[in-house]
Amino acid sequence: MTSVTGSVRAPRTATVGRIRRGTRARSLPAVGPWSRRLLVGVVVADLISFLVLVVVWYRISGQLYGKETIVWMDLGAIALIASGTAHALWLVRGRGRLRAGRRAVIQAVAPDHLAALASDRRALRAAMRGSSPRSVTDRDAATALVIVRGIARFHRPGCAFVADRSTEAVEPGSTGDFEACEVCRP
Amino acid sequence: MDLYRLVRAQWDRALAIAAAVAGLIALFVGWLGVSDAILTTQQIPYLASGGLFGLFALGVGATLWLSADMRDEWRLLERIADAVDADLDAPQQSSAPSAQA
Repeated sequence: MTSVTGSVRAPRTATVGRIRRGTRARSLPAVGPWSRRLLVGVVVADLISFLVLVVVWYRISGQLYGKETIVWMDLGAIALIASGTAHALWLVRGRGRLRAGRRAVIQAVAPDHLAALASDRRALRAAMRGSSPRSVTDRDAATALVIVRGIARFHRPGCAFVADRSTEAVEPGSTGDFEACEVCRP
Repeated sequence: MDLYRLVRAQWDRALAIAAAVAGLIALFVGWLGVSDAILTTQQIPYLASGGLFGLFALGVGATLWLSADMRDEWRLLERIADAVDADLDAPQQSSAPSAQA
């Protein structure tokens, strides 16, 4: 895992890029977290199941008696189970891809946030012992927002994007053309 | 936002609602038919049409709705990834203090 604030750009970009590019099928473009191949498979399974249900209904509705109706009902139940299995596979695959995407984003962004949280926890413990040091939260309150030269967004002081970088404090009302960071959401 | 735009923007959720409503209607009609039939053999066609089709449509609707939720979350992840990429690219492309992205 590479650092968000590190100067080695290519590996980090590749890590983030896996969220979008690595989860796609080789030959077909992706549809959300799913491959288009899986989409085609589920649609085909649903169409076949629907056609089987139509046939089952047609064959059963013409008969009042006989064991054959039970056989057709069994076929309809099998079609229903097949459709449900395809849907379950679709949802499980989607959840798996989403989990992988979340993990990639957290691995890309979280380490510095976790360091800030650990710092907060240490400060809290120190305050409970009575030494009352300045915590990260105090620092955030004293300097509401920060910017970094060359970055188009303003951040909270504890944001992962500005950790280990030289920052400039700005007043909340004087952010100018800068946009709010979408990670720390100042 | 009018209904047409809403349906176009949220087509997957609109389809999910339509499928769920169709499934509920099929189940209800099947139940009505079964309750009026006396013989078990008369009830089976209603079970095949109303019951099986209703369950099928309800399953399709539920899957569509959950898929829409997942796709929304996927889009959000992509936006975060784009933000990470943009913030990583910005300081290397220019060292000017002004906003560029």
